[in-house]
Amino acid sequence: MQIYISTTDGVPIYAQIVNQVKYLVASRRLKPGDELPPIRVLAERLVINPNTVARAYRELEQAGLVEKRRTAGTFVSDQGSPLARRERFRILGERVDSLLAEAGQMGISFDELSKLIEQRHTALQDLKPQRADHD
Amino acid sequence: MRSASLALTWELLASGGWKLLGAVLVANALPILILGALRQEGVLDPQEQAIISMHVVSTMINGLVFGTALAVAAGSVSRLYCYPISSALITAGRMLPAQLLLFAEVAASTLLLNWLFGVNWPILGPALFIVSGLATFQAVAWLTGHSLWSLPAILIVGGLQSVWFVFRYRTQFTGPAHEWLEVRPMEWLTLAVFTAGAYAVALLAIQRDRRGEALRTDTLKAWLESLCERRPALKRGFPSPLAAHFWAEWHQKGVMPLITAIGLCLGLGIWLLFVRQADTLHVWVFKGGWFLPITGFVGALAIGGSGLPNGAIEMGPFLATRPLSNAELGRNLLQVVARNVCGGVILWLGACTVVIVALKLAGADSGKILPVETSNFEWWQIPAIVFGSWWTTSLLTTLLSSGRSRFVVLVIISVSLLPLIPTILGRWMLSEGARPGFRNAIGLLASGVAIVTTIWACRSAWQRRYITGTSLLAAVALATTLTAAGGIVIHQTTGWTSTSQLILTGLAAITILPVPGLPLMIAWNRHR
Amino acid sequence: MTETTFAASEPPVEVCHLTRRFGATKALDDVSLTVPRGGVLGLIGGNGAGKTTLIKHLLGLYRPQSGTVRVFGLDPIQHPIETLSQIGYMSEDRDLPLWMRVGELLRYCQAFYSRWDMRFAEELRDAFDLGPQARVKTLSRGQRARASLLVALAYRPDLLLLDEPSAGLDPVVRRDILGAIIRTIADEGRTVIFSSHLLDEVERVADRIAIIHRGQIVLTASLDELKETHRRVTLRFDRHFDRPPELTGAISATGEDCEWTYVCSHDREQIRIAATAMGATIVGEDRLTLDEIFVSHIQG
Repeated sequence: MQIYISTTDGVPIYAQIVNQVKYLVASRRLKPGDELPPIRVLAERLVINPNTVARAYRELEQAGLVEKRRTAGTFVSDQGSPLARRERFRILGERVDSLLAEAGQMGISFDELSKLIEQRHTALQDLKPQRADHD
Repeated sequence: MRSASLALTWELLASGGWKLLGAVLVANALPILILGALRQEGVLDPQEQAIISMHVVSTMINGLVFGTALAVAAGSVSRLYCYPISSALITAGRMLPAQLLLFAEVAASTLLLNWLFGVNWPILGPALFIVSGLATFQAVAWLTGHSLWSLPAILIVGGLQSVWFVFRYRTQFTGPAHEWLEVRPMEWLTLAVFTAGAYAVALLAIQRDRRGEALRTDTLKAWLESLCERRPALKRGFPSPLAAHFWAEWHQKGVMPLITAIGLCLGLGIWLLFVRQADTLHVWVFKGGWFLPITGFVGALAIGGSGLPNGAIEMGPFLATRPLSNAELGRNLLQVVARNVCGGVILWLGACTVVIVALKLAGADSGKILPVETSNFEWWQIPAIVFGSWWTTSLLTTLLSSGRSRFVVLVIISVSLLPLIPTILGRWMLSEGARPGFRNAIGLLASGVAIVTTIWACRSAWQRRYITGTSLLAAVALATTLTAAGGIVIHQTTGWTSTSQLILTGLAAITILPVPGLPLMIAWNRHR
Repeated sequence: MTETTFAASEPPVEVCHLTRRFGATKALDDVSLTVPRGGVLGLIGGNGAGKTTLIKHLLGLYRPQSGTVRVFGLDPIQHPIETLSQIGYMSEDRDLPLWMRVGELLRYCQAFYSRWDMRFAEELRDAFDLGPQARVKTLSRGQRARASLLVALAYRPDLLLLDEPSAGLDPVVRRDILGAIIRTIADEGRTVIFSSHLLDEVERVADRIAIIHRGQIVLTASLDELKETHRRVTLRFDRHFDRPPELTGAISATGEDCEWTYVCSHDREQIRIAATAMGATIVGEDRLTLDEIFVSHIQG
């Protein structure tokens, strides 16, 4: 599990871990059933306070991304669970919030915005087969 | 080129300034005071041996004080390396102006004394000698700079030169007999060779140092270190914290037996080389004991300096955070002092015994154990040496353990100046008949102060629990025994008086003063 | 022994109204600080802010001129053995007996602590690449710092006091030192106080922060709290200002004309309300690094 910590952009370290684990899970680089490193090991590797790692794991657990198994460790949970699904909606919800806020500040109406989303979606759909060709 | 050398000279004078002026005053104050006092008493005889000795010593002190001031004013020579000037110019720029100034200072000082007191001291020879001495000092200092050779090399070269200088005034190892009135061709040559050699060595040293190379003595150094470092490897741990701490402290501070041993060997060496007379060896080994109390001062500097590597007497954080109580630290240091003094005394007494036995075996026995006839060395001097060593070592250690340099300086100045006041008072204010009584009163006062200080120290150490009941009882018992024993001895010899008894009690008090004093001072140093 | 067991329930450090002067300067000015058991307190402040003076008071190296210092409930001056045997200390100048060999240093220090763990000490010695025959005097700066840390850690002290542990060291040694701190606190119940002005380090390692400035503790908070509450907010006003308009909860302000940037330590909502009341709109909002929070407190 590759995680990088930066202390230059002001994001709390626990949040950096949470975000990166979420990203790793979403991009399938961490699969359900994979074990996360023990708190002490990760703390020593990243040179950060173990309590910070513990807090990050706690948040991930609450978000339903990982589950603690007694004595065994922390594992990436099955993504089909309703908790995980709810969490995904929550993350996207936050993104949409900020998108809406920015659109409002730029003077773009909601209709224009939803049209834009649709446009982008088709564009990406068109792009996909091409990228597959490249691979 | 000329401007660079002028700049160096100007820099020397400018940064010297007050330091140089102060050095002139300090260097000349002492002979003026002494000669003035002697003339006041009407006993100033320029032909007398002691006055010639004084000239020799004061010339050397003059050179030392003013030379040191010059060296301090000049500062580190490496500062000049980055200037675009040749190493030869640096050497000359640093040595020549200093030499000229020193020559002028020594000559002027002697002229002044000659004019003031009519002592007719020689000018040219001593001034030339001091100037060439400065050159060799600078050369040796630069050659060995920052290495551990620096001090021994300076001492050896300086010592040899001093012996050469002293021999301008005498023909044998006895006292000085005459002045060094005329500088003979051979002497000119010697001084010229000294100076030229010094310039050559200095130039080489500066060139080397400028290249950033160190003096190549690694193999010699490694060998010496392996010699000094031959301590047993620690296989097992220490049985107790105190054992560990004593090991560490003794390793750093167990200097007095070593100094004593070196002193004894040195004395024997000089005797073998120059004297080789049985009587002299007998006198030397016993009288040499008087070096022990002096060694105590040196020892105390090592023992009391518990601080950082830079020589500060303030206790370093590592030592201060050992989980030991102040009582334990104090007791430990007291043991270190005791072992130092005992080691020195035992070595000295051992040497005395060896000499006596050797003399007996060689048949050169005068029939007495002590050299009473030849040097007035009587029995009482042995305990005086032993206690003197204890007093100097333990009291100075106690003082230094305070780690407060201002306090240390204050105490040292007052202890060395206070006796002057009654002496001066007694000399000029009192009649001949009143002087012994006055002296007694001063002795009583001093004893009273010693006793009160010791009692106060015991009380505050006890209140703060820096001293255990056993230690306190043992100390008091020791002081009482010493007082009683001293009283009996006095009673047997000169006759007992209450004054002498009180003075004895005062001496006994300062003997045990370090027992409560050390932990008190250590606590004062540790908890700032 | 009863005292030590009693001490186990006391907070590791409790400082009340501590004041200390050196001549005319106040090195510590009415400092009160309680450090709970467990976790890492980062003591941050500029040079000469009083960090070292405070730490030395905890060790009994300074006698409080007024106020009290308690370490595990005990006065460190009255009870040097009880307190010092529970404290691991790394001094700012890495003071060690220079003449000792590393092996001797370990043996020597071992004698003082009943909890000294020789296996752990040897493990650290290996990890730090310190030869037992090497003399302390010949060690490089970084190696000496490692040796100093080793003898402060090897008895697993309940309280670790590190005074500028990584000042002037290269990144590799710094990482070693931080790693060792992390290993120490991973054991339950150990407390670490470390002073530093390398704030990215503090941000990585500390749970709590105490900012000390000119002898006063300006702020103590948990790092999370600090990061949550402190924000940089840029406001756009509808008219010109020569000086930054007052904003409640703002610690410092910079800017010109219509746009002013504030560092705030208030709730987001409250600031929004305050800004609207002043007729300004929030045009930018950012989180702050610990570095920026520190500077705003010291300069604001």
